[in-house]
Amino acid sequence: MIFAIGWLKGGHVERQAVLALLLAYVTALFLHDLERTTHQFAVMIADGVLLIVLVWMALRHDRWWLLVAVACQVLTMIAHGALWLDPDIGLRSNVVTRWLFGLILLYALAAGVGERWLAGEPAASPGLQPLRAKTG
Amino acid sequence: MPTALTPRQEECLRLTRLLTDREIAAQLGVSEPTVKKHVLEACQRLGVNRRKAALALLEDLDAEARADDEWQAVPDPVDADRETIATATSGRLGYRPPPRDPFLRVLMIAVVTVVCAVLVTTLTTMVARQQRQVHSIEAALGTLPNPPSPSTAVSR
Repeated sequence: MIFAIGWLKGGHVERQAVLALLLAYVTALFLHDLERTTHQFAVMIADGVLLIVLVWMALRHDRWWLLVAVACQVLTMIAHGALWLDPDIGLRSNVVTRWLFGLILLYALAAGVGERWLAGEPAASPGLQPLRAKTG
Repeated sequence: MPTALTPRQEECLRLTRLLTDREIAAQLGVSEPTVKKHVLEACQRLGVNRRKAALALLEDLDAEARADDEWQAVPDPVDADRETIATATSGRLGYRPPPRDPFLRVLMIAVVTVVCAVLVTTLTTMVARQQRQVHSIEAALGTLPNPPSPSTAVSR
């Protein structure tokens, strides 16, 4: 639902983020099914790529929510690293932690739609343009 | 210019408020029929028959243009680049975009990371402590046959 809102009501930045996140989630899902080891190395690589994309977007586009999204992704990577450094950490609690940061990232994306409105930019969706022309 | 009038037509029309056609002609250095022609064409372009109506319409258009200038920093958003508009306009409710300096942005990301980590840690600690208390109360009341250890309670 947040992806749909981000795609329809968000600007071009939010659309790029929706695409990147969807791609990362689908990749992580496949990798998670394929990889049954404790460390989930492939999922960590996928999260790392997503972090690079988000950092690039945060430095290129003027959006506050991207800074929060990058912070959440950094924490996700720290959670991955913690699993490597401390084997006593349970996989379940680690996954829950990463899921929590992912949830905050999603809410940051939803807030990005509001930020697009605050910035006074038009929505990227072409379907909304005629409606705005009629009402405006 | 708010209307499709030429500068000369607009000038002549505005001067009709205070001067006669002859005086306008003398001031602009043109003949009186030329002034009449300019004013007539201005009225036609504005879609009115009388000079006073044309003047009133022109003033309305001036007021609209002034209001647009106050609310819009960019005069023609169609031709401008979207990112330029985003930075040039002040945004709704006093919105300001983040600073453009990459170092500052990285610094902000670091601060937000620490804040998020502290918040999530505090939240999970609070939830775990509360769960532990609930289990200890249940154990004290005898509702649980075997009270779980604190580590088991946290993992739940």
